[in-house]
Amino acid sequence: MSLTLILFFSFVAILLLALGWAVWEPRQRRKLEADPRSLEERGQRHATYLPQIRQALAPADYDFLSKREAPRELRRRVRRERLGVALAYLAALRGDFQSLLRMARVIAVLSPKVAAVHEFERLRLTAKFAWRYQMIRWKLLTGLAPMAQLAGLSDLVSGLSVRMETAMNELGERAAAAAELASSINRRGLDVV
Amino acid sequence: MQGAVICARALAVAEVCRHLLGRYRGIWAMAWRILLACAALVLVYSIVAARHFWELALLAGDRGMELSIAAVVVAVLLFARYYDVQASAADRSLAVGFCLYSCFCVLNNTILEHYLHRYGALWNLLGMLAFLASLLLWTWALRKPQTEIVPEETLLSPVIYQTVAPQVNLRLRSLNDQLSKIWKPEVTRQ
Repeated sequence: MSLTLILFFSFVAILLLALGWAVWEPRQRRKLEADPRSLEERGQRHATYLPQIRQALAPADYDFLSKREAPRELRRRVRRERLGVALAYLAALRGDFQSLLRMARVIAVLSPKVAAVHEFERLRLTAKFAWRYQMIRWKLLTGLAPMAQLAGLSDLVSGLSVRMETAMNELGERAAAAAELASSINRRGLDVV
Repeated sequence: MQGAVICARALAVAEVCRHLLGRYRGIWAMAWRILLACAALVLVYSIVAARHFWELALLAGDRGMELSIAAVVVAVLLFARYYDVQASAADRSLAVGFCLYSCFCVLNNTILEHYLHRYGALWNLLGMLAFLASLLLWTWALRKPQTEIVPEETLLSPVIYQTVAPQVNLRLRSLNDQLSKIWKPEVTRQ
């Protein structure tokens, strides 16, 4: 088989795979929601449990158990349960990350002017996050990742949620103000150009 | 004649793309440039990858155009998926029909290029069959009259995107940095 044949056949195969993926819609995939409030609620859910997560990830309890010379089985059980908490926390972070991304996409879709640089940057960051998320997950499962460092992540995601919430509030206020202005101008019978 | 038909098909694909994303002014303004660049790149790829014989120049040009059309259709559907843009079933079927037909033409032309004399009759037959299959798909997509006029979406102020998008990216970048610190704890200790 010649190189030309291989090059074209493989390109078409890639195209067909991409076409299948683009057209295929998983059952659980939700439709674009016009109301951004549902997205904000999701972002807030994670922030609500932050103190508990922090407590669960703190190393103080391990130190206490070691000092008291607790049975091995008990220490193992504590470690296992906290690993579960860390994994659930990581999954929640990913959920928050995705909901924020989705909100950013909604804003992009509804904006009259979109900068390709920002869009590509977000795409790149998303790919990076997905890769690292999987790596850290495996690292946690194999007991190689220090759990305490996960706490720092939540600050960032929560911070982003708050910023997005503020932006959405501003957005609503501006839209309301613009509508008010337009209606008052219309009432006066002025021509808006 | 063949050139005119391909150009007409390319225009039809452009119209499908506009129909899919045109409602969203910002996305469309970015998307059409990327789609055009994508088409040009694929065209260059197919020219570079082709065997360079004068007698096969028309065939190579034809294949390049077909490959570009297929790539643009896939790219626009990927755009629609990424931005959660709802495509109507008719639009989707039309796009898929165009893509499958173009893909088949590329494969058919590539085989013809290698077995010009032995494959000629079969090439004609397969080309006809592929066209009929695509025609069937398009007919099915447009079996009902398309009277719906989709109004342009109510868009936000441009200031909102300009303010929010860099902030989001900055935060996502910081989040990724944190992830990399977890991944490489020795860097954090320094």
